Formats: sequence, C-alpha cells, structure tokens
Amino acid sequence: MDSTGVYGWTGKILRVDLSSGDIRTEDTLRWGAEYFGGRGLAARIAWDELPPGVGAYDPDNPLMFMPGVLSGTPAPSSGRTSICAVSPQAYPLEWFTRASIGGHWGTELKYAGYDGLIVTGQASGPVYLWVEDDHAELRDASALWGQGIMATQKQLLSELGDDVRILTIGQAGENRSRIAIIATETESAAGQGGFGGVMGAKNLKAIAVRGHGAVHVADSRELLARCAVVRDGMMIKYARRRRTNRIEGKYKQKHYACTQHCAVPCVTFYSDVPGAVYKDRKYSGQFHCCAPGFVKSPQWDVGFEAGFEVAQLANDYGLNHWEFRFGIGPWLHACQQRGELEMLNGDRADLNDPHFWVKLIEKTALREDWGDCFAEGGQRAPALLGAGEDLINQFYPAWGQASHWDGHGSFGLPSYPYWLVTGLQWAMDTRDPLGGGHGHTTNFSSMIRTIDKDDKVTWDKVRQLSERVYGVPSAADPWSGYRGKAHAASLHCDMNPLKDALGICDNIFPLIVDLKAEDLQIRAHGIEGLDFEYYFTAPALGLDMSRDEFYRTGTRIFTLERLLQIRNWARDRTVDETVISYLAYPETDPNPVTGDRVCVDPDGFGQLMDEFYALRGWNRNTGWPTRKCLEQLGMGSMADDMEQLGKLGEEV
Amino acid sequence: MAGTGKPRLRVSQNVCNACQSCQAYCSTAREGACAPSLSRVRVYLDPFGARHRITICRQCKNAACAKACPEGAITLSADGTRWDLDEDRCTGCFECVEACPFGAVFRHPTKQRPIRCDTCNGKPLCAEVCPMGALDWEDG
Repeated sequence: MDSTGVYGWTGKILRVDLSSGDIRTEDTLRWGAEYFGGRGLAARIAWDELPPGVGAYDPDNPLMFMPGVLSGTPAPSSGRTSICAVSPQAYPLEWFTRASIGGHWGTELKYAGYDGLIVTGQASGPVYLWVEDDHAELRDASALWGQGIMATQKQLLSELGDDVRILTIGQAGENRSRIAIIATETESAAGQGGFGGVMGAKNLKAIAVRGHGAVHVADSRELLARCAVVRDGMMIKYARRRRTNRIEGKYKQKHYACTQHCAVPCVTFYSDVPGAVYKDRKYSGQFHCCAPGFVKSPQWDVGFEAGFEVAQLANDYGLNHWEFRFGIGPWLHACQQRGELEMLNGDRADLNDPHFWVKLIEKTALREDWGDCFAEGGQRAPALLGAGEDLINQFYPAWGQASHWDGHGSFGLPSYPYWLVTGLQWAMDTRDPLGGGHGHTTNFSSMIRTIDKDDKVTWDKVRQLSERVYGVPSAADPWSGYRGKAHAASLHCDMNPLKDALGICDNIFPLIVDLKAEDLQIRAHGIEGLDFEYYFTAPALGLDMSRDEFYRTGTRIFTLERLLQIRNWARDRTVDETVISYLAYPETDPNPVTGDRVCVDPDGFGQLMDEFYALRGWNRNTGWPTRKCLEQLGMGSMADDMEQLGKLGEEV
Repeated sequence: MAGTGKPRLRVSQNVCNACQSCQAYCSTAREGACAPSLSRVRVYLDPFGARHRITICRQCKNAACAKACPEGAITLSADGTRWDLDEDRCTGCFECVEACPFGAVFRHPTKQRPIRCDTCNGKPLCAEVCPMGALDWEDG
C-alpha cells in the first residue's frame, strides 16, 4: 500500500515554462479529485488558468498532457492520455478542446511520477523535454527540427535508450498546420485539434519519458479479480478479436495493442509494405481506424500498397488522417464532380492517383504552394483556394472537424433516426464528439441491420433495454423518430468525458448490448456491462462514492467544459444550432426503414435541443446551466462566477 | 496445454501484441503496485517492427542464478518445476541478477532484493491474462 494513501494518482503535476525554462511540480490534489484525471483535470485547471482571448499559437496557451487516473493501473484498456489546449483546428473560433492518444507514453509519464504535464510559453529555439523520474530538462532539438515523426523517435531512442517513450511532432506541426498531430510509435496520435501545431508554435519538438516508479492501487486483489470479470465481458462483444496472434498475410500482419491492457486490440501492424510512389521504400506500421480509407473510399481507389504508403507518410509528416479521408478528399471529389479544382496550380488533382495523394500530404505538411491552404484544415481551405466554399458544409458538421458517425457527408452511418443522437452530441460538443462519444453507435445504431424488422419480440426487448439504459424505450427504436434521442445524447455526452478522465478506451466502453443474451444486456459473472467502469474503478482508486455519484463525474466534467465555453467564447444556443445546416442535407445512404434519404427537421431538432437542455438543467433559450444544475453537481462557486459575469442560466 | 515433459511456461515471442497485461498483473499481484519495474516478466516493445521481446525466467535446469547466490537463497522447488527465492536468506547482493544469461532476474527498484519469476507456484498469472497466447502454461 502506498504510504500516501492516494491511489491511481501519482500526486504530482509537472509544469514546464518554455519561455523562462522554469520546471517545477505541483500537488495534483490541490485541484481536488472531483474531475478525476485526464480531460477532467485539464478542464478544471483551464477554468482557473485559461482567460478569454488566448489564441492557439499564443505562448500562454497551456498545452496539457493528462493521462487518465487509471492509466498505469491494470484496468482494462486504460492507458490513454488526453491532450487539451486551445485548438487551432477549431472553427470558426480557436477554442479549448481535447484529443486522446494511445500508445505507451502516458503510462510511462505516470511511472515517472506525474499525473500530468502542462507546457506553457515558447522556447527561443527548438527544444525537446527529457523526463526521467524526478529529473526533467529541456534539451536542444535543432538536429531534430525538420525530421519526421519516425526519424525523430528513432534518433531519441538511440540516444536515450529503447525503453523510452516519446511524443513528437513532424514537419506539419513545426509549420503550425492547423491539422498537425502529436504522435507516438507509428500511428497513435492525438489526431483532431491541431495540437501538433501548438507544440510547433512552442518550438517543442518532442517529449521523451522514462519512469521507474509505480502506480499504487487501493485493493490490488479485488482490482485484479474485477478486471478479469470485465475482460470476460469484453470478450462477449469482441470475441472475434480474441485469437492467437497469428502472423498472417502478405505483410506479416499481426494484432497490436494501441494501449496498455487491451485484450481485444483493433489495430493491425503490417511489415515491409513496398511503396507505390517511392518504390525504393518499404513501410512498416500500424494501420487502423480511418487509415484503410486511404486505400479505398466511395470517392477513390488507389490500391492497398499506395493507400498504406499515403497513411504512413501522413503519420510521418504528422498530419491528421481524418481530415483527408473524411473532409478534404471527399470535398475535392465533390468540387471535381462539377468541374472545379481538377488542377491545383499545374498539378492534376486526381484522387485515383497515389502520386497526387503523396503530393497532397507533402505540400500540406511543408506548406508548399497550394498545400499552404490545406495546412489550414479542410474547413478553412476553400476560402483560401477560392473554390467550393458552398460545398464544404456538406462534409463538416461543425467546429472545424469532418463527418463522423452522423449519417451525413462522407460518413454514411448510422441511419436515421440514430444520427439524431450523434447529431445532438455534435451540437453540444467542442469538437467531433465521436472521439470519445461512441456508445450509442457501438451498441445500438447497427441493430437495424442485424435484427429482422419484423422480429417484434426482439425489438420489444430493445425498447426495454433502452428504458433501462436511457430511461425511455424510444431512444434505440428505429421507428421512434425524434422521441427519446435527447436522453441518449445526454448520457453519451457524459460518458465521453468520464472515459477520457479515466483513460479508458472509447471504442470498447460502455459495453451494453449482447444480442445473444435473453434481455440483450452484456453481463459477466452477474455484473452488468452498464456498471463495468464503476466496478473496476472502485477498487483501483478506493472510491468512496456510489455508482450514481461516480457516473455523475462525467456530467460534472461536461458541464465544466460548457461553462468554459460560455465564459471564454460566448457559447450559447445559437452556436449549438450550427450543426443543423449540415444535418439538413439528405442522409448519405438510403434509409433502411423509410427507403429514402432523410433530412433533419429543424423544428424537430430544435425541440430535441429543448429536451436536452431540460434534462441537464440548462436554460433552453440560452443553453446556459442554471444555478440549481451547478449546485447539484457541487459547482456552486462556479455558479457564483457565472452569475457575476451575467452568464448564469435563468431557472427553467 | 498438454505436453509430455514437466510443467513449463512457453513463450511465443512473435505473437505478443504489446498490451503489457502480463507486466501489470504480475506487478500488481506480487508487489501490490503496477509498474514494469516491479514485474517478473518484462516486455521490451518494438514500436517500429512489432517484434516485441518477452523476457521471463526459464526455470533453467542448471540455474546460473542459483549457482551464483552466495547464500544459497535460490532453491529448486520440491516438485522440481521452479526455482524459489528465500527472501529471509537473500542479502541483496544481486549476484543472481549479474549471473542470469538471459537478463531475466531483475533488481527491485526500491528494495535490496531481486525480482524473479517463481511461476506463481505453478499458476502463472501472466499466462492467464495474456490475450494472445504469447505466454502459455504447459501442464506437462
């Protein structure tokens, strides 16, 4: 047992001011434990330390690297880290948001003794931060500047030892691209947000960490027993991923866990794939999530080797895959369908030609020629290029980020009415909400394709499960239109920050549906999937709180982020409505229930927003939380602050 | 898995997926805290080739660590399947760490004693939690 009696936490936050070179630590728990770690802790700190008016590339922008409070413990799939700051990709305003990254860096930071790292200021020249337990120093990175993400890591591994974990940026980040990533290993990235550009603006090339310490847990025996139960629960849903890790296929493919303690990894590692454009090169790396979309999409088909090469080059230069696969690529295609942008300053923009794709990645990362426009991100590029401005909204729901599980634009899933849930999540968030807000999508929205429409018995069970999960039977019912969707969106808006604060995988949790179970609920050894997060967190942290109180932590974090938005960026209902014009386009694919392509009904969506605000205790006209809402969450002092600013929601 | 010889831990290096569950469970179960540096099994990651390397005691027939121990603190178990460390006799000289040709005996980061695998008395937790079969307990 740890002598401090603090579990999960290491107790210290590392602070580095690049302008002065000052490096110090502070007590983590001075911020309290009410927001857990990761994204929750970052929001809490931002509330005190991030005033209005700070831009993404300002030295004052605090770039926070926050592993989850469970990162470094044996909790399943728990090694993730939130990266939070004012985001250059956010649109139309640069505002505070977050990204999540896997890999093994965050857990190493915990083992080095830190619950988080906050970087402020701007170095006078390129530096990297070297952290080994109590020792932290800034070192010259002139020799690394201009290098890609792989070369930078390899160089630092050779200098510092191959057990060091590294976060770094590529050329895109150095050049302050708004779609630059921060990355580790071959494909783990804080992809959305453009935080690579923030690191570049600070002249911080990399952060290398080695830790020899430990993360203490409250009840190790009980924790391990409960982890085993939850792992069995994970196997119910992801049984197909549980198999001996055979090395198979042309490129010796094998599973690769992107984060610690993932028993059901979704990543595949490919070795020695020959380049299609650079024929003298071979690429090895992880390949998952949207990366296979570089190979083939509804708009292009370049073949496996070329697509793999493009994905790896984007990883190396440090560019956001999502932007190209779901934003820039489909938008360019739409422009070309009406005869525009077939040429870019003398370069043929042929989406079926891998040479164009390589040029697109390289010119964007280096801000060369027309690539300078794309470096500003897909939503800002059309105005700079002077073309296709009227088309971009089809591919960008809001906040500078491209389609994701909203049934529209370049992402054809889910179908109506399920995209009302994710659409509402988009409306209320500060970024693409599906970076942590899966849950409805992974559990319910595919049902319409797996359960027979006439199977009344099973659909009745779905309604019963929906009532159990969301409090209303209609939230998962494909024939229910707008009913119940606000309940589902509200729950997943809260689950999203809770997962990020714990550091657990968004893709896996929450585990709710088991189509083979009598009542369709996942259960392992009698424990319901709905309780899993609480079940393994309690013995890890020695929680002294009820299940409901635990899950309310997600509500508290989401609400605090909302307050920050209102205080610093004038967020209100009219801003939330941004997403409606995107949802007003017909859904991408024909609807399996109605047979046609459904558009949003703006009035119906407005009523959904009313319901959402009411469920949370926010004023429906302003979208601002009321005092009652804040006091119920233990945020009374923040209610006082908002009242003073005249931004407290009037009681409903 | 049924075999013909004595029980043993079979390591299949190629199939490790880098999840490091083995390290987390081992250190938490045996030392009460989670850390690679407290684990009896170590996974050395290969992020650019995915050929991760697992290092764990092989329970050698002629154990160099036992021979090197000046106190005779490392002794063969009664059933002959593993080497046990008698912590009362261990003085923390770390001769065993130096002697192991496989680098599978480690220094404890804060205590004056080595960390070495004793197969959890014939029920190795690491093999139980390995999702990919990289660590597998053969019953013999």
